[in-house]
Amino acid sequence: MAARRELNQIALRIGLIIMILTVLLCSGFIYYTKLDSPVFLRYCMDVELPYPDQLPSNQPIFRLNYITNITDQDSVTGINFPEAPEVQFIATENAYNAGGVYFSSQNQVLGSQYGRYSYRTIYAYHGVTESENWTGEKVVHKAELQLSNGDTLTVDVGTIVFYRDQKNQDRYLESLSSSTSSDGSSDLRYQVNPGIELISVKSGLLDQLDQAGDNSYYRMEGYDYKGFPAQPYENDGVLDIAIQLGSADNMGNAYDYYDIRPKLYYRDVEGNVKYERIYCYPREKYFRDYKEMLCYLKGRGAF
Amino acid sequence: MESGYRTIMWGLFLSTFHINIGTFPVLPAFIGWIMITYAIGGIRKEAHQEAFTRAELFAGMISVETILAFTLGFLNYRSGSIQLLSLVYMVLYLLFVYYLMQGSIEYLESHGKTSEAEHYRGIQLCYIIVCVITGILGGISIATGNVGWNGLAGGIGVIMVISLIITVKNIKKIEVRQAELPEG
Repeated sequence: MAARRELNQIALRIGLIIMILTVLLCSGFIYYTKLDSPVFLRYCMDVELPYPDQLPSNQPIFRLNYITNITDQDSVTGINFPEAPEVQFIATENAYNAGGVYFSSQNQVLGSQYGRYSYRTIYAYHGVTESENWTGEKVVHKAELQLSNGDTLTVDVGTIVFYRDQKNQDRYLESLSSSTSSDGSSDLRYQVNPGIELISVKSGLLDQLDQAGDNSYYRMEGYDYKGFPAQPYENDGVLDIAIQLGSADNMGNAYDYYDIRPKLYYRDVEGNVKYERIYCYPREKYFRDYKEMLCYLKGRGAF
Repeated sequence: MESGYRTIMWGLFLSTFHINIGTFPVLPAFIGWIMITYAIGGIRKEAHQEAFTRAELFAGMISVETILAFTLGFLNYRSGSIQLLSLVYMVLYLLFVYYLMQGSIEYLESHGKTSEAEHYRGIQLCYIIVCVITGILGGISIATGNVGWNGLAGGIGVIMVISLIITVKNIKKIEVRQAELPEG
């Protein structure tokens, strides 16, 4: 009997040590991986602002994703950009909740859960500028967010270029084919109207391409975009563009979002210099699990 | 003592299976734990076993913990610390189960029921092991936010409480026979 009693006492002691160690390790892990503030993914994207008469009612103009603690119950209710205060959006974390439709915020599930984190999406709708006919580009790096608890949060979002081009431009380029692959490469082929002369490709964002990964490039007819056209370009009617975005060198930039729409300048038959946007597939990588998100946050130096 | 054990059974039941109307808890977990604390206090006075004093202490501590968790939950307070409370709960629960069993075993021994006492020592060891496994699983699920581990830990926990209720019921029956012996 005494032996059994001692055995149980020893089992209790060992059990207590294991449980207390578990409590300490878990508490340590929880506090170590807790985010002090939400972490936004980095964006490198061109965003087109529609004209007021073209505003899509239920389609967001753009989306931003961020990671926050699972215990964070605040949501984003507004967004503006201090570098471009005249560009205004309606922001919400509920898709299709813009335009005055009210949903109760009670007991709503915000974002998707990855372990102890919540992966949230901010949908920005409308997008109006001061002047209805404004055209041009606005570059922003920081966003100011209004939260449901009344606080304001300023965050670094990478580089976002809001642009609006002239309405009803003549199209001199026609897309023939396009393909993309999960490794970040895209191939585009355009038919170029004969009689026009391609001059150059311009985009502020293309200069940030090297941050997408070591082997990133943007080639036109085999030449790097900076040198295009390398020699007076002979218009054979077809323009081939090869794009490689990534793969990322480390976890810290693996989930950066790329959607670059460079301007291809050309001289038309009448000698006027014009441009057209070249669209390609955005590079967007999703988190597969909690472990990946932890590695990403560690790579970003979030803890 | 019989009524004390019966109250413990009901207390264990109410602390595990909550009754809610909508989202409003009619019988929250702490009611069950207060019942258990009260019942063990009564048994302690009758049985005079040191282990029951400790069981009462840990049941009381769990009552405070559950009141705190209930209040924070009611105020919709969500933070990592509320989840850490449930880790503390697991440690206190292990100690409570150990000393409840220990007190009952010692009481049986003191009344010459050595074979029954031996039997319950084996069960006591099983509970220690199951408590520790549940604690580890619960800890992992809280630290990683993993719903699967959480469900597994919860499932094992519920099975263990049901088993504990049955054990307490059986101990109670032995006590009845013990009380009946002098009369027979």
